[in-house]
Amino acid sequence: MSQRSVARAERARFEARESQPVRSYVSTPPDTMLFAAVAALVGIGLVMIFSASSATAYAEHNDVAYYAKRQFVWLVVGLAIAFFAYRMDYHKLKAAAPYLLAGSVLSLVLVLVPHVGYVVNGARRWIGFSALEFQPSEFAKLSIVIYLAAMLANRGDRIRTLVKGLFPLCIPVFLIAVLIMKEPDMGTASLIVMISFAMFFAAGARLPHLAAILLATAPPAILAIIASPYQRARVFVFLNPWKDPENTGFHIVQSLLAIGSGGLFGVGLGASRAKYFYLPEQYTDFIFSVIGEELGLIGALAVVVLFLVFAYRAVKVAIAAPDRFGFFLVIGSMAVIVIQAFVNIGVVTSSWPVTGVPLPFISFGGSSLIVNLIAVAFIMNVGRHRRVRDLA
Amino acid sequence: MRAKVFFYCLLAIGLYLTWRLYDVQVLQGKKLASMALAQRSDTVELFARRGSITDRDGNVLVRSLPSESVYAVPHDITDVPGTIAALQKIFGKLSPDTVAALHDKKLWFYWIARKIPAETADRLRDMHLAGVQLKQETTGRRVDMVGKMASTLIGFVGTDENGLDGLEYSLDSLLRGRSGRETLETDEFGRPIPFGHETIVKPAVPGLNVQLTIDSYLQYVTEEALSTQVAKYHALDGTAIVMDPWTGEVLAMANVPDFDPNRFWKFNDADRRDRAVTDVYEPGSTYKLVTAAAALESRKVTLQSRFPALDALEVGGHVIHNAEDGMPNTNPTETLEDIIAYSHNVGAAEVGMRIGAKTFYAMERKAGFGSVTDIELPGESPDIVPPPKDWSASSLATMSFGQGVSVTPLSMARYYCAIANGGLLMRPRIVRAIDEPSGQVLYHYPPEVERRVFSPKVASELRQFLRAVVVRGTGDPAAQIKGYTTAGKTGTGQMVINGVYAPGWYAASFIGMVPYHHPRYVIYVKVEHPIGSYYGSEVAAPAFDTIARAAMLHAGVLPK
Repeated sequence: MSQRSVARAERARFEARESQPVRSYVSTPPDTMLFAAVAALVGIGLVMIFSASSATAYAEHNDVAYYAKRQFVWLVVGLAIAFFAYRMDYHKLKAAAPYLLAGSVLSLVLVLVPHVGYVVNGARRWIGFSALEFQPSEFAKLSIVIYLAAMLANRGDRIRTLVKGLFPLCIPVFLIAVLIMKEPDMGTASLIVMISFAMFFAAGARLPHLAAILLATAPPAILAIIASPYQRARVFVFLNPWKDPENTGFHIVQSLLAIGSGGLFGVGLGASRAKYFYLPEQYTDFIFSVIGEELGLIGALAVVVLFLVFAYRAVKVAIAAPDRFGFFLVIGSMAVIVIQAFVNIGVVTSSWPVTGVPLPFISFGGSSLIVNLIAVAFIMNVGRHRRVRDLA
Repeated sequence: MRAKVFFYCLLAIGLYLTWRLYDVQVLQGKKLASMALAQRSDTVELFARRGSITDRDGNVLVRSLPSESVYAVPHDITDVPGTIAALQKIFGKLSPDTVAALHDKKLWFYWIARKIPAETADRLRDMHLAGVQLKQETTGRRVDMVGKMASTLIGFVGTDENGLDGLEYSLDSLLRGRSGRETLETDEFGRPIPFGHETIVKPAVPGLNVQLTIDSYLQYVTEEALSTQVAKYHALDGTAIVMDPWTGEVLAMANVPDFDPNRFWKFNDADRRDRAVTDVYEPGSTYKLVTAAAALESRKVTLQSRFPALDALEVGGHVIHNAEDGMPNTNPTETLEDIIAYSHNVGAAEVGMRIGAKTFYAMERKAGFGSVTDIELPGESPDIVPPPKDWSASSLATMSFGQGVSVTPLSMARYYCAIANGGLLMRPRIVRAIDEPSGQVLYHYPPEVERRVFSPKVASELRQFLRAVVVRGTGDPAAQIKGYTTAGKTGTGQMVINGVYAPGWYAASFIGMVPYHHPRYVIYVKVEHPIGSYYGSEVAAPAFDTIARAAMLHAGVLPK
């Protein structure tokens, strides 16, 4: 048989498998280890938000638990939504993928419109009003994962081609990334790209292709960075934050001082000194520094290990997924959480350029927590399903 | 399979982050921890309480309280008119400068009020005004518990509790505490971190307490009696001193005018002076006791010696008259006692010329005139007692009745103490003891005898003269008190203004003791430039009576 006919045959077999009815799946118990890892991270998050935010909460709201209480409310809301995402038939997501992506693009455009999106800390990131505000960029992560999962599931090995396979999928990715950059939110924009490339990589895209696309998109990004001295200083400060500890290096220096103060066993839960307004963003983007200070190397490593356990179990779930859509949904959802976690830890340990991204499950923030819980729900949802053939 | 490779990539990143954490937390941990500690360590000055000043019974006259000051951060004020209204409710009308400063959005610091009372600070705190802050001061707020009482004696302090006048100034090194230093962990804004560690680098040392020899009751009575006389005769000013002749302790020292140390800036310098030590005056007839002492101690004159009783005498081209306040001559000759009792200037001049310049000047110096008393009060002025080589032909004659010399009221009172106690010149005391902040006595000043001025016999003879003044002389009946025996001398000195005698300006004085046998108190009263009368007997003696009676009753001696 010629190579082309082999490909055609494989494609026919693949499409036949994809179009199998839902009935061919059965329910299995959820992955308890994955759930336990997430529960532990969420628990650490609640405790550490209470500890890290208490000084600010008391100073601003006269209530030490102000932020911890709010995070707890978000957790309850997030669990309710996540339970729905867990129980639903995840295949419905595949059909909804283009609409979810369109919705995300629309909301990302809306957030840039003055008076609709509003500004916090100089960035136009939020949309909505009072309790119903949310960050479209957070939900964009989920919709791009769902969209790419749907596309990659249908595309099969065509992903190995550049023009017909990989390149068309990059268009929505960069569209969303550029919109998020406009807010500006370099951190989330770069995450979108990294998550997408992780999915392409898992789908079997050829490494030279991925490298070529990155190289092609790099010049404008590098130009944008070099053009602004502020951005340049910010991006490269992680190489030597001590050069300018009062200004561009301030965040990182304070983070290192906090983490370093922790030593092997930490200064004790609640005993952080950095949280008394030395460390900026101490209960959001830099909460890991407080963990390092209060719980030491032991506590900090526990968090890293929990994320690795989560990643390991998620990959197991992905491999056992009943279909390709499930596989990519799990890989993408896991990438959303773990890549972001490692970027965050990389930033606070001065190993990665400063990009303001929160630590999943742990940093204070409603949109982020809900999105991450939904991502976990997708993974566990897929994990509930096994192919009948595999079980037989 | 690519999914597994993806996991291994994540695992590799995780391992790299583990290495980074190990590097930061373990390899560099100690260095970073000490840098973080240095960053949050703040050294603050600790409040040291300034010592109190008490009277001889331990009643507090002046004390210090921990204090707070109010400042504004105009940049942070959200509601400027509201804040100004709230502040005016507490502090009264604000100055235009303050109001302008509160409106200045670019300003980060402006004092509103320094060292406010604790109640005011609490009220302000409860108002929670944005941009209005309180700051703990390292020095306290000085509170004069007795207001104007003994004010010229005690003096006052500046904003940083630095003694500026009076005992506050002269005893500043004892009263002043040394503020300590404390290193503590603070937040980014310098506020102490709860549960943070604190290390006292240098503890605050509170100042010592000073116990004065002043008796508050006598001080009060003295001030009242003096100001009554000053007011009655519309006088310029007045001074009164009560001393214990046996110890030299000043029991009361009053000046009119005086001031309120709590609002010292509202009074001018002249009101804040302790005239008893800073001002000299011509004593007039009270100085005749120096002439008499010299005469008796040198044995050139005895009690029986008689002098021609003249109305006028020409000495060195200068005619001396008996003063108006003296009593007229009745006999052709008179004894020393008569001269004192009737206050005859001519007689005193005759005595002086009989004993000679050397004897007279020696007694002046021996009696302590011409030098400072070294009392702990600041700004003591030395008496002006010129030596014989500077005298003119008439100097000896006029000095014999107190003209041509200038002395402080305290010098005068001290001399009369020597007469009262049998001839010993005591060092005047205003400080009785220095106490530890705990209340324990650190040092108790014992009575200090400077020297013997004259023999006890001469002292008793001089007292006899003073008794005669009250019984049959110029002090009869003005200085007599029902139920007690008194002795004393009237005086009328001409006031010197800008180096020349001011016609019609007199300093009327009375110096007395009570009781006559074994005097308990020496009481000095002087009123300057009285209007209506200028006789010591009329202007000063009534205050002596009031003080003497009150002092005896206070000492538990009932009138007989």
